Amino acid sequence: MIGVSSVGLVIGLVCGGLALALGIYLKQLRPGITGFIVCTIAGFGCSIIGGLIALFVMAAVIISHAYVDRQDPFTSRAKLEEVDFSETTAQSTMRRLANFGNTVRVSWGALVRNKAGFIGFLGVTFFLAMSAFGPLFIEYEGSAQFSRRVDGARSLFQAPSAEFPLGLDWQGRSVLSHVVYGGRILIVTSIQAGLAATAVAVLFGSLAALMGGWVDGILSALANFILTIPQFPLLLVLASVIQFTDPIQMALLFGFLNWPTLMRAVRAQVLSLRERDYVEAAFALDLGLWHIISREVFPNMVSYIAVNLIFTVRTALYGLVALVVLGIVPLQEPDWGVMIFMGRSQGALFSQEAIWMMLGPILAIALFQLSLVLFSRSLEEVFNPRLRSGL
Amino acid sequence: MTSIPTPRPVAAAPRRSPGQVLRRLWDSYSFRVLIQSLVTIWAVTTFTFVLIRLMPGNPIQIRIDQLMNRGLTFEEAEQQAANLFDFDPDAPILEQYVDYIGKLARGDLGNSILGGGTPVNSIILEFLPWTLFSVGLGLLLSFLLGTLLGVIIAYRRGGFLDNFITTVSSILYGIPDYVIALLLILVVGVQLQWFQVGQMRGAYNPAIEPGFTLEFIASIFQHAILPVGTYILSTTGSWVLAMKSSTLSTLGEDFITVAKARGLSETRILSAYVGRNALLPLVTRLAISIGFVVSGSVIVEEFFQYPGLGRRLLRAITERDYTTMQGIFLVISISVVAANALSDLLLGWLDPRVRVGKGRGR
Amino acid sequence: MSISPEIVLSVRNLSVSYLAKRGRVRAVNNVSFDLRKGETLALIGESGCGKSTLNLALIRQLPITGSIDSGQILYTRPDGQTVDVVSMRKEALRQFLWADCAMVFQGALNSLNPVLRVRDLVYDTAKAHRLNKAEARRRAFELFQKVRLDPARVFNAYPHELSGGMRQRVLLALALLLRPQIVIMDEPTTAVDILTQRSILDVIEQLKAEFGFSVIFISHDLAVAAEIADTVATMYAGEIIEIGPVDEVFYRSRHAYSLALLNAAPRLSTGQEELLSIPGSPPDLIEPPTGCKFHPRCAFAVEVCKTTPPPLIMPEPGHRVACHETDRVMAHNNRKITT
Repeated sequence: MIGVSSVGLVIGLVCGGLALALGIYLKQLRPGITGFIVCTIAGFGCSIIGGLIALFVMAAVIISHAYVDRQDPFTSRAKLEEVDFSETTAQSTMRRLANFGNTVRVSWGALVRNKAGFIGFLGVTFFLAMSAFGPLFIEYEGSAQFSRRVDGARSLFQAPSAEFPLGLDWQGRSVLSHVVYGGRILIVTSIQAGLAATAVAVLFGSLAALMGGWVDGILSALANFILTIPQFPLLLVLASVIQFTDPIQMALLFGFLNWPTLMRAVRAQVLSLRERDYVEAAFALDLGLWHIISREVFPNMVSYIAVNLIFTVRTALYGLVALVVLGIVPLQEPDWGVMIFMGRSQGALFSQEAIWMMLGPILAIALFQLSLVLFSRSLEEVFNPRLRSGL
Repeated sequence: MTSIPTPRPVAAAPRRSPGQVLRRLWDSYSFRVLIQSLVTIWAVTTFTFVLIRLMPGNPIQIRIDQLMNRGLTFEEAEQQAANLFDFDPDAPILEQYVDYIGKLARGDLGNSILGGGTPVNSIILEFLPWTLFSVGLGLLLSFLLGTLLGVIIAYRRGGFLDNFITTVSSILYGIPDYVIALLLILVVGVQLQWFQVGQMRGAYNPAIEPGFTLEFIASIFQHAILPVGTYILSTTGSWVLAMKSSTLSTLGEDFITVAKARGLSETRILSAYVGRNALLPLVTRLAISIGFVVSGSVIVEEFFQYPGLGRRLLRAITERDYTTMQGIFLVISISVVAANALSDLLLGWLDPRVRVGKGRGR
Repeated sequence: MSISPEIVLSVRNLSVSYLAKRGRVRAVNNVSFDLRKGETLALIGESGCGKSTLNLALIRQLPITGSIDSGQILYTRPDGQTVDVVSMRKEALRQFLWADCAMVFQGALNSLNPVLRVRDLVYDTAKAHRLNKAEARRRAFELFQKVRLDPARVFNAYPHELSGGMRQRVLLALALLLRPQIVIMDEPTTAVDILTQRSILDVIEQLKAEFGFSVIFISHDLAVAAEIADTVATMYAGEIIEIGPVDEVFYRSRHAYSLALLNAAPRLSTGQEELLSIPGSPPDLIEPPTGCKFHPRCAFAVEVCKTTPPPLIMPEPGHRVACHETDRVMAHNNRKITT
């Protein structure tokens, strides 16, 4: 039962977290009293919904524990596939709940079993939570804090202390506050980029495979073309010609540059699915493109799509930070990239005392990227049962 | 029932009509790789043409607007811009395009907008060698090191060495190259003071006379060590992980068991049976990796003040020197396309299955 | 250690196990048999009964998790000297492999290195056993001819350029390159169509007559086994439960499992006959059933089967069987044939 309660705890945390994050996000959109009201309502709403979901999942998990005595001796998992046609609606509901709970348990087990992957999961959760909730506890320091100058010091730089755990930057501002606030737009933009790339890839991949002919030819050629051009120089050129003003434009651009790998995989998957009878049947029944994509293609590729999504998020994060660090796009604080850019221009690369101002954002980027990599590895195991089992 | 199907007759000697020659040419793997590369290069050049000339807010338009703001008429402004960018504004766009492609085909990349119109070609000739040298060296060393370590830990899987190297590789793989570069500067340069990073700008020490002297060559390597080190650190991890999983899956193949059952020596099995087959998927990755490293080189060269093409591209961009930018971008893209083609050819050489007829991949 | 000079391979009480997370998988248990010169021994049984493990153990090529726990594999060289394969050192084993005991694996596509030409496979094998190149080439051409391949074409081909049947025959020729005394064939006919299967079996018969090697033939295809074998051994749960001349085992089965296996196979000769599948699935080899391991699935099982493992008895010369109810099985066997 320890398993159940820990699962419930985490789910509750995640749901509650979502609610809070959404609240904070909405409050940003609508300042003032309206924002406060919207935030509160959204927060409550999400908490209730999140709580219900958490309860539901916990119930499912508990029920699935009750099914343990019906275990398959070889896989030691609950035997749930055998459908008894005489069962009542209640029994069937219970069985489905248990089935769902079992999936949750097995996924959680797979997530926990891979140690590196679990560390990645914790890391990703940490950075998301920090960006979402950090602002509740830490105040943003936008302007210079000259009052913090230590007598006799040549600059406002300071090494970490109890009061400022990550030190002070060249304007005497707390590096910690910038690390907490500086990832928000980056993370949101990267995730948008990942979603955009995934959407384009799934759409183009399915189209190419299902339509065939010249559509396939053109889309595949485009994918090959984008894959061959070195991405970052292209990004630099594009960013210099098209003056980006809005992060969402950047997200779309990254989405546009990152769909080809997944598109190829989707195309191959759909092509192989097309050969199968049931897809032909679905075609014959005129069930439509969307039905085929959502019911046949997607479930078979969840693992690949998830891993690719994370990969795109990483690439976008890499590019976003790099563009800022090189000073190609307009600087806007707070941003991890701007911190590195300012650190470089303030000579932090060559002086001992200024090192702390750069270490914060550098470690944040490095650790977040690393967590994403590790997490995507364990996701593969969660979605791919073949990797899970084995002697 | 003793009648046995006789072996299929040897394929008849091909009679060569012109059509068949073309057919055979098209079926030849190298030829297809070449054609694909040329098409990609053509697409890149067209893309830059469209970007500079036709997109809304393109550099020429901006230039013309700037000049008109200074009181010039549209015609005058357009004429000046045309001189700078070297095109004929009165010609139809298709003609401009043909003209542009024609100049490129003759290897004429135009003149820099700034700095008295230095030919872009000479700029590229000055900076390209250093990028080729540092990126090439970094990739070569990381590939050798990574595949070697990958094979070793695949043979000793589950041991301490395996766990240690796999962990380190995953960490290195996960961290972006510019973060590694920054950490290198902070740790090796600022904290440990092993290198005076500030004094290591440039490709060699300008005080030393260039030539085939030991001193000069030592200086080249000394200046390249941090960028090359960054490339090695940021790519070795992915080679190790890829080679490990590739070797593990090859070791599970039947033909390895058969080779052992045939009593072959272990070195022969390692080289021709495990090694060669495990390397095949990595050769494909090599192409992707070249693109990544070249991309990373822009930032790495900037951080280490290394006079490569990436850093020059960055300068052209910040100075809004569009012809130089265009030229460098084309050269970088063409190098990457060429590297891709090379790795494809390498794969064809290593894997006989790729060579045969079209559409018969693995 | 004296065994009759007739016998080239004598396996004594061989046990093999794999290490798995749940415990030790006893894949081969206390197996003994003899292989005479020129004899063909067919090993039959369901998948997972330990046939393939036994064969990998004979050439000491078990996967890393597997190990030989006990027993001897005594091999008699052509000069009369007898050696134990289990205790061979690395180099001696390398020399023994292929030169004395070759193997034809199932799934011929995966058995050939895809990046090497057939000639490289031949030369590699020759080099490892100090056979000079010219002689290896001569022998290879001769053997390719004998297995009905076009030597000039096949010799320079890559594996993917050959059809499944051709690859299987290349493997067969490769196995005989060094004139081994024993050839182990692991389902050599499963992956090919019925005509190719026919021709491969004919080629095997012909080569056997010419070179006089012994064959250990693994198959779950009983028709093939019946045709090619002199002796048949039935394996169940890692044990040989019945072994004897092919006619004895096939027409006078004394083990309930052999009988069940035969009844589960279609027979062309008897026409419309009911196929009886064996209920249940192969037993768990980590915690096998007590007594006779077949008893949970056995139609003849009595109380004693659940508690006492049956000893291996010899009801007739050369026919040994491990079953408590041999007589009842035998009777059933006869009745079946008369109906």
